[in-house]
Amino acid sequence: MNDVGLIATKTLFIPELNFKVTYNPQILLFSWVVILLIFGLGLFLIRAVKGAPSRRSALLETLYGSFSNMATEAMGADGRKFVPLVVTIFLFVLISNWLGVVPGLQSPTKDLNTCLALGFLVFVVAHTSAMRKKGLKSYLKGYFEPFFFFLPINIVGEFGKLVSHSFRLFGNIFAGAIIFALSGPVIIKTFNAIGLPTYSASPFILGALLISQAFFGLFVGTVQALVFALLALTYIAILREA
Amino acid sequence: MSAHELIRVVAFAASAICMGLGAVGSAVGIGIIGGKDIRGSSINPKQQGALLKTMLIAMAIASTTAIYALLVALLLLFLIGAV
Repeated sequence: MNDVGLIATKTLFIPELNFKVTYNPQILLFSWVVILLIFGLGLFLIRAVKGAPSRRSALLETLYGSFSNMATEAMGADGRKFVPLVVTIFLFVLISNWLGVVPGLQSPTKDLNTCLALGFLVFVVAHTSAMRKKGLKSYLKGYFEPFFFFLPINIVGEFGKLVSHSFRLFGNIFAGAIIFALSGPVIIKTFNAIGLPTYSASPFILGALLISQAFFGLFVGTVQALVFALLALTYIAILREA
Repeated sequence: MSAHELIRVVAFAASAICMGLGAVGSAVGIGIIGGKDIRGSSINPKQQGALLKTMLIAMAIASTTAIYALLVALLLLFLIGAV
């Protein structure tokens, strides 16, 4: 995707193993920034939980408690062991989406590889937990429901879940990044086309950048992080309970 | 215009049409879901939190077809259009 001019990739080639991997150094760097931010946030908030109730402990307990309620509603008392995973995914996606708002930093979720990795994680967790809970025989029997010739449709449906789950996050964040990158040049070209000088466009460019960052970065980022975490919980619950 | 350029032009046009027409259905669906949610939460305001959660999941599932359209549009744009 070098055409867009947004993503710079590098290729690592190991001749002894005939192994080639293409990666994006910026996305790797900012993923580690997000991980360190979550780690710092955890260290900052966990001290408050040990002492008397305060604002910090209320924040952490609300976050954990709301996801814990949802998991218990969907899967019963069994669902509580998935709460740490879902809360971690929520925090990672939320902070990744919000990182793009800061000028000079980029969202790791702007790259499809990050989103596919998260979607694949949920896919593997959902299928292995369903296998362990129901046993291999009744897990495989679920693919032949309601009739035996539904097998290909069910298999395609499972991969469709994985694709739509990761592409939903990627599409929203990538579209926001493209609109943010395009809004400045489009306004300048419109002003030049009607004969106004370039400098008179600057307040409109500032406004467009602020509005697009507030909408696509903060609002869409929050909603998509919540949707990603809720869908992860729902996919795990559907496979375990159905 | 050579055949190579023609393929690129058609791929760009096809990706735009694919994304535009593919988003129609899920846009209508998401609108219906949002309207029903407002109606439900105005009838029963105490259930607003539970309705919001269900609405977000329903909207995410309704937007799945638009995401498949986005996938096809990106494939056209970056695999065929960039050749």
